[in-house]
Amino acid sequence: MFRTVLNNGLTLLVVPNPTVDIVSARFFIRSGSREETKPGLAHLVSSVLTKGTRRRSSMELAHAVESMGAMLGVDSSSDYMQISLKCLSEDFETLIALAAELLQEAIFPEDQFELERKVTLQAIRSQQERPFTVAYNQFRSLLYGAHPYAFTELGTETSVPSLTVDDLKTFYQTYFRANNALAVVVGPITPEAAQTLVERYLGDWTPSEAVPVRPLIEHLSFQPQVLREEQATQQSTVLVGYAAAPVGSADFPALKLISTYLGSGLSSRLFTELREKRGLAYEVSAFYPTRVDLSHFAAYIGTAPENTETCVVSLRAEVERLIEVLLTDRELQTAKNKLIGQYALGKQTNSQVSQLLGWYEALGVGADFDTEYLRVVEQLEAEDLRQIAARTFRDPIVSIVGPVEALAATA
Amino acid sequence: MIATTSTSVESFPFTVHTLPNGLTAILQQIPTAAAVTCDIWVRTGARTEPLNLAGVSHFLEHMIFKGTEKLGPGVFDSEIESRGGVTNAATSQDYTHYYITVANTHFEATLPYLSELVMGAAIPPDEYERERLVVLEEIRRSQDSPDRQAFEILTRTMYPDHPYGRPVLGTAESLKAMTADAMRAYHRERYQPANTTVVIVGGVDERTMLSAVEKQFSEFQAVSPLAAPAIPKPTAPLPASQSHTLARLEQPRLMLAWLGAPIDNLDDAIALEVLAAVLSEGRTSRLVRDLREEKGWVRSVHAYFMPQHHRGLFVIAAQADAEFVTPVEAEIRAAVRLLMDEPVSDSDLNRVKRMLRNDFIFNTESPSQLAGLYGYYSTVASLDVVLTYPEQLQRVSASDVQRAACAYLDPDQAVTLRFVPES
Repeated sequence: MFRTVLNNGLTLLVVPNPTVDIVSARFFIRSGSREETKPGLAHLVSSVLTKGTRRRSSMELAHAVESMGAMLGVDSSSDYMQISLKCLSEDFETLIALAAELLQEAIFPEDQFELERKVTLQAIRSQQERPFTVAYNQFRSLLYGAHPYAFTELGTETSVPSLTVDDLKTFYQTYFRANNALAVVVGPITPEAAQTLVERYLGDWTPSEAVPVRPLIEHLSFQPQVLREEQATQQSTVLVGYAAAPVGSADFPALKLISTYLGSGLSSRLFTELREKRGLAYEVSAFYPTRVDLSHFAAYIGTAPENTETCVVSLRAEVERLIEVLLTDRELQTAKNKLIGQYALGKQTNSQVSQLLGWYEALGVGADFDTEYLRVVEQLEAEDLRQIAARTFRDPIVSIVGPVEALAATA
Repeated sequence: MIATTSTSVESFPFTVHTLPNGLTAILQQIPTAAAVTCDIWVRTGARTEPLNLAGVSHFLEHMIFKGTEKLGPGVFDSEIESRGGVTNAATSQDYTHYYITVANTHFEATLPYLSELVMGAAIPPDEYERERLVVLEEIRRSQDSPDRQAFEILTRTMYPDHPYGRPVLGTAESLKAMTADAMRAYHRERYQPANTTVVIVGGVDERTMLSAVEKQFSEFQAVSPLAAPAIPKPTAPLPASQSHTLARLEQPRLMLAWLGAPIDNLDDAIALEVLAAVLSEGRTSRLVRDLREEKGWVRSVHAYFMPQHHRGLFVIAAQADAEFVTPVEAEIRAAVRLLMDEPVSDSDLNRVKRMLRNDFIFNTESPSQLAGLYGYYSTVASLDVVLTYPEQLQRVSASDVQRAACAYLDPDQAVTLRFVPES
């Protein structure tokens, strides 16, 4: 991997791969919805970003991408934002020029802002159609209170109407700066050629003297409890969650390994215990998002209403069992092989590689973080996992979505 | 390996082998790949099920993972995953397939588990009873998704007398009535070598691949002549306009649908793909530009053609607030009418062809994508499709597209479904 920093502070990562004619490039902004003053702001910035620049209208921009059969997308997430593009190598220069225009010259037209805000409000309402999303939102809301991690990217029905074009422009001018960004290029291109192109189109991008960064959470003050939301569903959705360490913490590798052990694949602990042996569910898993700030660890299941209480008890028991019980040597080795091996399998396409490298760099742990943290994983012992489980799985929040009789039957 | 945009046969340097027992193997070495995918495709799915066994193909796919006489339940999953591999399976109307992706070094150790699992399913009675509960949860889960419910109503309406009209998962009733013996008989009858294609793509020497396939699959014997299930071809339903209420729906959905071409009519299938892209691929496409970007009437609008072995579905679907559903329907009908009345412009046609060509190229990057592509086409149509698709796409003319619009998409023949919230 080639890495350099341009004079204006823009970081460039290049991984040459001559075996395919596909270029994947991503432009990361090292700030995301975590910096929001109003929920939904970063998402709306990403929705309106491609809809007008000083040089081109929304339709002209779309035509430029579509006439080449290329893909260009903008996404926001908790800790970063990105413009991603994928094209044949012959089209790469045209597209990098276009991405550079979006990064430096977006104008956020009023009519496009109104349109995207309206569509966002419809998307917020439609979240109610997905019971898992309802359960997850209810959990995050209690865990994080007023912090931006409490909300989905879309924002809320009260926050989004209060957003203005000026909010978007201010966010853009504050965070879309050369020294708060990085470019990742993976494909049939040399580092020198990639650097020449990036300097040509982004060399004049202005840095910021000081990009504001929200301070890390010092303390979460939630009361562990059971949250219930009634929906006339056929299944109950049960989620059990805990506050968990950020990506920069020494506990991070162990929590990823625990998440793999409990929730990854057909041989995971939750899958075999709750689905294979007891037939309680089709979908049961665990996840631990990689976050700059205090993250969370959750296990969830979709089950028949009459099994709701059984699943609350069983999910908690499976997670909190790890405070008491050491994994066997075989369990530990299997979980390590799975995490390390499947991680390697997740790097088969250029866009998978560019996503992983850019993501870790954008989170501030560096593009080499993946190899570093996997080395730590290899060294972990069962007692390490037990101690970290004991620190993490202390204050459970249980979030249930389901029919009224299922909710009534829970303790 | 797929290093050029050229559409020549050299782009897909696979080899095809037929074993003496009738099994087909498609192999391709990619020297630069770190992983290898083994993907077993069986020509069986909801389409080949008798009515009294609706859902058996999918339930069987679950039971396959419950092991054989030699492999206890869970052993396969653990052997693959403990080596850092991934595995899964999928069942559709026209096919069922099972795949593993592992690092090259694990290829020879893992393939025997996959072949044993798929060919030697034991379907133990106690596991059968428990796994039925899992499939019933899967059905309940799909009932909690308004979009899946809408799609189920759509297929039922479009294929009233054809298996495509039934859900792949089956129903709670059909599953409760089914027996493990009937499933075993179905497995014997459908999982035969002549009905099976093994695809291996990745960073393993091709001779190693071939000898592994010969070793693992040569004992796989035909137990009976392979009977082709007698399934009538679907006939287009009468034009209709229906409204359905759906529980927990937040925003109305609108669908207009027609039966398209079967996949072996590749010219028409490609023309229908082009038509779908002209209507809704990208912000400059006709419906997205008109209904979402300019009028702001819809949250989304999407046209797609689902190619299948028998005539597949062409669908235009929109999501919009209630007040806009009627005007949106009128605009969609007018847009489809225009495709019948006027040839698409050169710039529309070229843009869409380039998008479809690149989509195809973007989907041939990794071993697992290639294995899926080869397995799918050789099972549902023929492997030739992979080789000829890019050329045929390039040849499609504006008059071909107009002819397909007239032949398949007459708005007066459409089935229109509206889905609205309760109360």
